[in-house]
Amino acid sequence: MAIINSLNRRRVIPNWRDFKSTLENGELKCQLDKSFKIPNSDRLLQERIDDFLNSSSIGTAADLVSVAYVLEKYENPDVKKALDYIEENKKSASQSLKDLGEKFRSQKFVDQDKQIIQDKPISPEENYILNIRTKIGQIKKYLRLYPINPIAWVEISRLYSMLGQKTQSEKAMKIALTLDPNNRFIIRSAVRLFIHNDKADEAYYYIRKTESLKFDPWLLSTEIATSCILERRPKFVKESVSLIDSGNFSNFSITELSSSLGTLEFYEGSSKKSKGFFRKSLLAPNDNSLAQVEWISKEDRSLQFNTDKITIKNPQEAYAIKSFEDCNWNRALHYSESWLNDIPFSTRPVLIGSFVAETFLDDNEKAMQLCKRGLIANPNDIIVQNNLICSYAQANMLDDAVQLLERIKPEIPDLSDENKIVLQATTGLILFRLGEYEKGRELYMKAIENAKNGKFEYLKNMAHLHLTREEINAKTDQIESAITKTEKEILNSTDSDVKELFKIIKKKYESEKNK
Amino acid sequence: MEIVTAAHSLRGQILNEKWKVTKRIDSYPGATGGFFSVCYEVQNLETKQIAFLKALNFEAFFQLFPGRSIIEIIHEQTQAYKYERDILLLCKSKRLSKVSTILDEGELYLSNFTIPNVPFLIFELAEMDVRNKLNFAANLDNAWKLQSLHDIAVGLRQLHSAKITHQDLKPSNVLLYHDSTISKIGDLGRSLCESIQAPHDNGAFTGDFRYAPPELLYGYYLEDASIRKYATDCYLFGSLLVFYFIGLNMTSLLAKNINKDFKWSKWHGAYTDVQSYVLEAFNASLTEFKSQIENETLQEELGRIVEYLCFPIPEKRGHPRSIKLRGSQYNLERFITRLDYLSKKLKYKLL
Repeated sequence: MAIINSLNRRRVIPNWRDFKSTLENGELKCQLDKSFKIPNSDRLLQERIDDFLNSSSIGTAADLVSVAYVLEKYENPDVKKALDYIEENKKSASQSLKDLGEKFRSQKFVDQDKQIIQDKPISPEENYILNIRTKIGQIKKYLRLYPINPIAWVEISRLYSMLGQKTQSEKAMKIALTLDPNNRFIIRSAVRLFIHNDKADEAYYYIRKTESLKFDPWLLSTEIATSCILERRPKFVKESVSLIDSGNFSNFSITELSSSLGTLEFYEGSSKKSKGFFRKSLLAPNDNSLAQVEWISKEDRSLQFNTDKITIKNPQEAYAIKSFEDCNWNRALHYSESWLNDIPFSTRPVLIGSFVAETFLDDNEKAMQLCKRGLIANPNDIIVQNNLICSYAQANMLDDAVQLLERIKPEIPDLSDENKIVLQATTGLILFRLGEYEKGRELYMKAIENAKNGKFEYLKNMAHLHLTREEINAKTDQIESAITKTEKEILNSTDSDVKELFKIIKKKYESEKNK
Repeated sequence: MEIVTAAHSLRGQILNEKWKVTKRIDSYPGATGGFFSVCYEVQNLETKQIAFLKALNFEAFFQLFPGRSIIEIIHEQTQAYKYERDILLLCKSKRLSKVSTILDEGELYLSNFTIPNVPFLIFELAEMDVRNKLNFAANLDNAWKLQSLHDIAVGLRQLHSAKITHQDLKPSNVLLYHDSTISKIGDLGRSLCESIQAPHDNGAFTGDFRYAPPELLYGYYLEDASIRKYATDCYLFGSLLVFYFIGLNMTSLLAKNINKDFKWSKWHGAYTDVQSYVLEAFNASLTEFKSQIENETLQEELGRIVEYLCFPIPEKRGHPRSIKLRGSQYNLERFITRLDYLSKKLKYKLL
């Protein structure tokens, strides 16, 4: 039985993208919109203009243009004369000088294209692993030249995590943390990495060590989310609330913090308070806070927010969750794929995408493709492997399915109860496909029983649905009773996918019956 | 119409029985305090040496300066003049060969004027400042550039050994002499000295923000000013080296390579919070700088020198071995040796 994921509670853990994308998202901006202006800049510029006009040479022109650039005096006509002079004497000009001249001419002062180590996201298409390895090679070379650049260490850590190389990834991240333990980008990336690697306590250690924690809403939000994962009371709730109320920060700067506080209140049972925080988080949301609102809306139908008109950068996760809730499966698959491209080490887009592809769209090829990509970054993830087994089984690649199931069998005793139930149902599926209906049914029933005992309502419903589907596929004599039982069992379910899947199964049953 | 003052009437005068004022000139490489001073060319009566004279124009103090009191201006300018004179005399007494220093100084009395006193300083006459000599085409004049930079590094070390930090080293303050074979540091007007109190010393940066090291642009000052000013000189010299080769100084190169959100004109947080991004831009700047030097050995050597001299975290600036050893981490000795070695190698075409 393919399954979405084992995430019980979504927390506002930072998303970890490459440096360029994080910059573009605006998460690294300074909170306060004040700036330093060089005093007497007009007079200072005039001095260099006089020098150039009194004695025009490539040197005085270069000096004037350099100074104008530092002073941000882009429009001065005398600076333009110096630029023309450089253009006329370009044989004596360096490439940097010519580039700067181009920046002045095209008025493109704000874009930045040289600084970023990782200039393009890695394409998920062909040679995916090779492309990541090439990128790692490039950054290694860069780090040989600039070994104390912490941003480069974070970038290489992320690439290692995309290949599932946890040790190398953590090692690189720890170097970055040693070089700059207070940088927002580094801390948030590190927290995400350690939580991803099931080391929330280590994530918490680094976030608590940060000097600017109490003053930085992006870090406070991370601290709250990490504390909650560790089931500890966050240390700075009061400070966080006053920071939000202070009015010193832009709505965008406090979006994740509001969302974290909203989530905290939500899980502590204060719906009213949490609603207020979520509303605040939606004033200028980012991908994470919007996804959180979509998640919470799914968790509690009484908490609904109008997010239709919201446009943000990287909305993939939020849109995938929303499309899933709306039972728009093609859209859900599309956004899961782009979410995976955005956060390639995450298993959640893999699970949602493969579940939707296999369960609702009958696209086993796509489901397999997603699972295989997910296994690059998370080679030991049991649920991704489970979904791949299911896709193999659905595609009648039973040898592959059995082989993979055999491989993970030794791990089953150590799994959580939920995962054991999922694998029981999956084994049932394979047995059905192998024609051993009795044994298959028995395992499905065991899974249902265990889910009931463990109060895993969603798993119980899913197991019923999958069993019914298999009964129909196998054209057994148990179809009628399975349909009736499933209909009764899922009656009170609020999960849209459960209801939708039942509709599909029932339709199939009716069409089979009419044949 | 120009006001005729004592300072404007020096042509033909004999100063200190040694110098004849031959002609008035508009400006002079490396000269400061333009509004309050008048410049002349002078000739030594015995040796016929041509020199440059800067006369302090007291009457300019009485022109209108909205919002500023005359007392304040007179105090500021006389103090500035006195400081420059004293510091130049100190340099002269220490025989700093790579610092443009004064040949003579004094005060002339012209009785026909309301304010008859004209204090003056006489400097060696430079041919030009280095900007008029430089060419930024790749691989051109590299031997000369390194020799000139070596001279400037020596000049800076001479100043440091006299407990003076320049604080305002920039292309316009590099003066060329003797067919451009000798380069010297000019304009000590913004310098700081341990033995002479500078009137402009308010504990902050006294130099020119257009060329300032990044930490100062972000408002980060090393607590110990006696260390900070050497760190600043170190950066300014590295930045000058960059200018010699590509026509942009390190500050403008950083401005070019840093993301707009992290630029000093946008960032108001602590320098420690933006440091890693500045470092990232610095590395990009170094790569850009090195890419324009064709000779591979020179590319590596100069890249390293610039990296050590301009490192954006002042606590880590300087030669790594100087940082580890006792003494000042901003000591320029190792850079001087390297520049000397490289310039000689290039001169004899061994590189």
